[in-house]
Amino acid sequence: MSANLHQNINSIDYMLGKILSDILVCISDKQFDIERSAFSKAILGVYNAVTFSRPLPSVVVEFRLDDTSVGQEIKSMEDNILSQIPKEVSGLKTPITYLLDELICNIQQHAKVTTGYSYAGYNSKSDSVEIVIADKGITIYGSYVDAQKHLELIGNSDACALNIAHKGYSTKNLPNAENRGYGISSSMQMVVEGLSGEFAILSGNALLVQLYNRKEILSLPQEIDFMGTMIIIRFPAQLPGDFDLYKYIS
Amino acid sequence: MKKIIKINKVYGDELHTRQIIERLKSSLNSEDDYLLDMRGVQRVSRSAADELYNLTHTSKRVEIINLEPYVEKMLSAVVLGRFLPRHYEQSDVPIINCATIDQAATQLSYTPAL
Repeated sequence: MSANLHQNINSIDYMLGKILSDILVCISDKQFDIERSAFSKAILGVYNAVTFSRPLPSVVVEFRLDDTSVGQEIKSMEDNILSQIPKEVSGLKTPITYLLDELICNIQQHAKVTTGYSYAGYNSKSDSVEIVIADKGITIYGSYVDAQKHLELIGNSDACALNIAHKGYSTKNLPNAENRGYGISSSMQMVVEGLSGEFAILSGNALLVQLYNRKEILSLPQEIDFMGTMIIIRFPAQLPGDFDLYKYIS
Repeated sequence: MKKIIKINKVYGDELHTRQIIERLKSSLNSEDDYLLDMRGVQRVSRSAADELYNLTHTSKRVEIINLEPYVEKMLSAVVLGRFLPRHYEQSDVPIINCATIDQAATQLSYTPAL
């Protein structure tokens, strides 16, 4: 089952790597207004809103990070995805909720902002779930600096900060006593290995992409400097038969 | 006599954030004993479950009862995670320095081999 899903996601003619490549070119050429999918509009729209203070596209929601609003936003995102999928997929809500919880809680904990940005949708062409969670906060690098943690590992590099975030290095004081520092790494593993999907993080001027058979961090040219963090996720809207959420939690 | 707090009534049927548990904690009186009745709470995030663990294990005066199945599994996973050795991914992700947008775009726009 998993192998078939991997083949499905790889046969999609417009994969996440290509979408991101196209978006980089658009940013470079300042071609912001050309017609594109809702997912691409969301990624580009958040980039433009954070970087150039442009208005958000209608597909993106800005939400407050207080407890009540976070709960409402997560429900709204889930409903938005599940209501668009033409068939009921048993068990799909649970990993979606887990991912949204992890990623939005990360913003709450680390970004030092009061609002976040979200896009959640279903792409009928590729039969995939598409999610964007972003903030205009202090970036992952800034989070380590703010906590004065692991400075020797990150140097002055957004890419190095992304590297240790993916490894599970926490900015908190009790890394051996609490379940902290797993948010990004467990979410990424769940999406790519568990759900046969694709995962990317843009933070500062570094972009981490993990696809089925490839994981790398691009240190981007200076003209791209995203003053925040954006998580971009895409996975097939069908669960592999052997998917086990708890494998990625503990 | 233990005071019972029906979490579902006060905080709703889904607990998403660490802050919501911190808010719960700050509402508790240190002189009293509490039972947190979780009936009807259908979902709890890993972060909120982690804070619930903190709450119940730093105070002998707080117990949790009536866990719904998903919440019970999440709490068990979090407790298990506490006692497993801390795991750090060992391998570094290769960092590719892209001097130009075109270079970065080309790097991303490949067709992966199956």
